[in-house]
Amino acid sequence: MSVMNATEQLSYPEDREFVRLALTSQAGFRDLVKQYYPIMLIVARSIAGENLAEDAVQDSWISIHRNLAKFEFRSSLKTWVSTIAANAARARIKKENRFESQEDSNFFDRFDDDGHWNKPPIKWEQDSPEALLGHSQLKECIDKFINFLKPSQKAVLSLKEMQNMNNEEICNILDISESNVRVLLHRARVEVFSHIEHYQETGEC
Amino acid sequence: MLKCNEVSKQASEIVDGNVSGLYKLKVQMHLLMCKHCRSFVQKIKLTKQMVSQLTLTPVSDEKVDQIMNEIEEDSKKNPSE
Repeated sequence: MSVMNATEQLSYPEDREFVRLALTSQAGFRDLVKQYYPIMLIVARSIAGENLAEDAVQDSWISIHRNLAKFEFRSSLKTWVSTIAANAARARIKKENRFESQEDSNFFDRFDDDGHWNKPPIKWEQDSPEALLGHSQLKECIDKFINFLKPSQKAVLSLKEMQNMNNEEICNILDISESNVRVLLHRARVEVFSHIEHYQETGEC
Repeated sequence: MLKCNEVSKQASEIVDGNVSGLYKLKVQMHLLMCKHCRSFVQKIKLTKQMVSQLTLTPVSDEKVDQIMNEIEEDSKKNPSE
């Protein structure tokens, strides 16, 4: 692609179509709400907590509606709406130690004082993502575990793994450092791992 | 020599391909010799792959209606054009 063309080539073509439909019809705007509400709620919860998050997302939609026609596609639509949700959540709270720093579960008890495993990982019956999710009871449990994650962990996990955002975008939306993103992501994965292992061991959630 | 608890803390970085250089070599050495850490890293990878196939809880129709109503109210109060 030549440099000349690059300026003319429109960024995020699929987002543009989505926005065009949302600006021209009510049904189009509804689709936009349906598409992005879930991730916006997760982002807002990580910042403002359970009680204020829904209101923050509602505020966001009014703001999105007012500004959609002016959106310039400098970022993807999902990054833009997630940022608006994060800002609305911040506006709803006074900024104070949002990010818990304590360790989760008792994962580090699984090592002895010398740093060796004293409770090593057990064998899993399902050894592919498809098999894990194909086991309906386990799938239900996993959905539940994810909902029980700390909001900040859930937000990073959702933005990273389900929305495929990169660390830089996540840092900007949540206003945290990259090392914080990495730590939260790892803790979230370890939590989910621990719950799956518990299920493998006991057959219960 | 890396210890198991140190390797376990880096499991996500290992899975995401964020370790390099001498440290990567040390990690590889450890994993070669330690089946528990191998198993753990493999399961963190599996966890990551599985989570990426999940979908978020969808929004209810009632909630969407509520938002659409609020937007309509807002447009009446603050007509843009």
